[in-house]
Amino acid sequence: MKSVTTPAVVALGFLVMAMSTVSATDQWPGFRGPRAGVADDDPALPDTWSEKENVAWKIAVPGLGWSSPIVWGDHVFITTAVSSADEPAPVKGLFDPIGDHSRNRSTAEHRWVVIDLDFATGRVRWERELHRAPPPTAKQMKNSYASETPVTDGERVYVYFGAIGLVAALDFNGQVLWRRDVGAIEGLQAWGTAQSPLVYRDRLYVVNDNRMRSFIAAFDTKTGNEIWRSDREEVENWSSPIVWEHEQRTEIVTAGEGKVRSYGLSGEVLWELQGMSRSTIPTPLAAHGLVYVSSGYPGSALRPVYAIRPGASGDISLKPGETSNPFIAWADPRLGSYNTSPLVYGDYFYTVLDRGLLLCHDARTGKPIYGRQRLSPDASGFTASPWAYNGKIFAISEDGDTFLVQAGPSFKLLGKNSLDGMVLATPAVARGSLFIRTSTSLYRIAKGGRR
Amino acid sequence: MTRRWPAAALLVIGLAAAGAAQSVTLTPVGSISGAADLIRIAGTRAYVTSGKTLTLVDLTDPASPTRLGAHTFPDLIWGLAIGGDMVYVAADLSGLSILDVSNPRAPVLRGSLKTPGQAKNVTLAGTRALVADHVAGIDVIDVSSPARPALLESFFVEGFAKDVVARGSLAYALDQPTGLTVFNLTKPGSFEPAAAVTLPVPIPLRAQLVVSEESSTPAPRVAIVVGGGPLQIYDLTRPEGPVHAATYRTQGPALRVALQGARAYVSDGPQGLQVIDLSVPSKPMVVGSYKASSPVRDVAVSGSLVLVTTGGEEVLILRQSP
Repeated sequence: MKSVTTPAVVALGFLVMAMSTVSATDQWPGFRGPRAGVADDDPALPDTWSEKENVAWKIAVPGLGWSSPIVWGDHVFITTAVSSADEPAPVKGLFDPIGDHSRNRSTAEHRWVVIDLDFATGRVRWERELHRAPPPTAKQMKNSYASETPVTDGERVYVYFGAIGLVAALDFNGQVLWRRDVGAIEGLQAWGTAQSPLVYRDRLYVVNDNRMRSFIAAFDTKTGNEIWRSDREEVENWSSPIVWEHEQRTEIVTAGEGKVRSYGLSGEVLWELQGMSRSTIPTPLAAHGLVYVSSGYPGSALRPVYAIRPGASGDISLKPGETSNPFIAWADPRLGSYNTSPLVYGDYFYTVLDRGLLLCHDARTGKPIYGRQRLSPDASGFTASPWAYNGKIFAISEDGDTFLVQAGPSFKLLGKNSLDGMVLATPAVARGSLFIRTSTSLYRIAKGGRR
Repeated sequence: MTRRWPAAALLVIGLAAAGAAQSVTLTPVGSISGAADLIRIAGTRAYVTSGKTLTLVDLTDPASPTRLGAHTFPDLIWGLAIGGDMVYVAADLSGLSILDVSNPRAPVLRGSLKTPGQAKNVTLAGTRALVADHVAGIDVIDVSSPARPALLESFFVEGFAKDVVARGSLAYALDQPTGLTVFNLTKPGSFEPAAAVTLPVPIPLRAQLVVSEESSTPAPRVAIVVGGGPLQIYDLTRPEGPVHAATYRTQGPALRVALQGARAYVSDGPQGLQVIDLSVPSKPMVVGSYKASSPVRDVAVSGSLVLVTTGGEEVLILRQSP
């Protein structure tokens, strides 16, 4: 057959080529997704939304959970803890809870639940209760009893409820495949837990830093058998572990007040680093061949960000006066945020300070690009971590206001999208939709509200 | 009001070591019974806080103080500022509240504003109130309409904003653990302070900043930071550029401090009240003290009256001389 190349065919070819370069993020399998908050560019993703605009669906979520939604195919998974009593509402704002504001110990029976929602409609596909009892641990007045984001490998969904010490795997039909009791451990401050589990290949990694019996453990994803466990000399932290794949090896990186530690897949400590603030919360991320770790408790003089090169071993802590060494590409002693995790998007390292300020640094060198820029003078605070797509940075306040900022070396505030309700959970992005969880609802935001 | 103080405890010691500085004699003249955390004086009125409650006390006759009215706020009172007939209260998570005390027997809440953080103290700068708002920094709030206080902007501080003092066109902010920052109030919202210094000794959760009033007296202008450790004294000869003058340890924990002229009055816990001369800020000298039967927690000075809260149980009214 004679081949004929017509202008129309050429145009179609260009179109196909162009479409193939637009790879939308299809799955969002765990906390902050596959690239630490960065979603693939997708023209279908929304720039504006409100309670009435671009809402594909909004569902009421029972109970309270600050875990993020995760998405795999047509499945949207969320976790929550549902009390049988009226519980005090979480309180917005930036504060260091002491005295009356410290801990909240509920005596009411709670149900710990995993929910699978239909991507298109938000309909509940199934809801599985994993435990029912009064919480054995207390929590800070802003925290929930379901703050760990679940994780999936596309075959099973894994949950960790630190409040009750439960690790479990469910299939996509909601059947519990295995469950393990790892102990409900109350930290000294009793502010509750929030370290999300991590899946890498056939292992599920769980970290619980609590001052009493801190540990990291690896479980077989299929059987739930504990493969290894390592005690951690750590106080309470709320930073989740990440996997760091690079040319030399694959590491599990954990950040903590005592030390940043990297573990090999068999549990051996590869390297460690001292010099974090109190109460480490931000989750590390990997980009540009570096892994970034940070912490920023405001009451600590040291609130560092470290950019670490691959291949380290032993103690790579900076000596006094140093800002780099062979394995620390750059460090900034006062850049770390308290609750939010940083974002690397393109060439830049973005920091959202909890009080609504954005800073931008060169991701490779740490060189300041722009200093503190205000997102909002009156926001209650920023706890959810920022995300990015389509050349924009997004930061959502506890008030439910999302601020859009132009990505790149110049600060430009592009707009604000508001939803009702308090937000601490980091949103998810998948298949052209943005998922935002408030204290009471889950939204799927999509252009035109399309289903 | 009770009047109970042991005669033996009345005494006051002027220290010979005071050198050229004049010794101070302190004599108990009365007391205000009841729980007391913080104490302030304005005119002939004392303002006493206990937990969430503010109580007004008439001091026209210091030997016989009279309780007037009281108001209970939604949250713990960390600090207050008095401006005419209004009292501005920093009450933790509930933020800033404005209490009308024109009728001191029946104070009325005029307005309140939930601040983004945790209100730790408040100071007045004309029609603006500045609130040390913990994680949220220093809030600037328009209080020209007490019924509708409005957040204008905020100043960034590195750590937990613990205290703020306005003097003229400047605001001095204290943040935990080691920040003393000066802001120019004529540059609202600026992230760049006029000056920032790092305290040599980190401050704990409860810390206080006092700054000399602008005056024509020959007393040197200073800023003092306390909070359970030493007095950290800064020379404000150049108001926008604090210079560390001394770090001075009292015998006790130096919980809070009040300034009058060149004298600092330090509530020194179990060591009682210490009066320290700062005529030369780099050379503080104790010129008087008073040992109470319970730890001294807070202090306020007005004219010849010195009020101290003791053990959280009462307020002692002392008269100083000279």
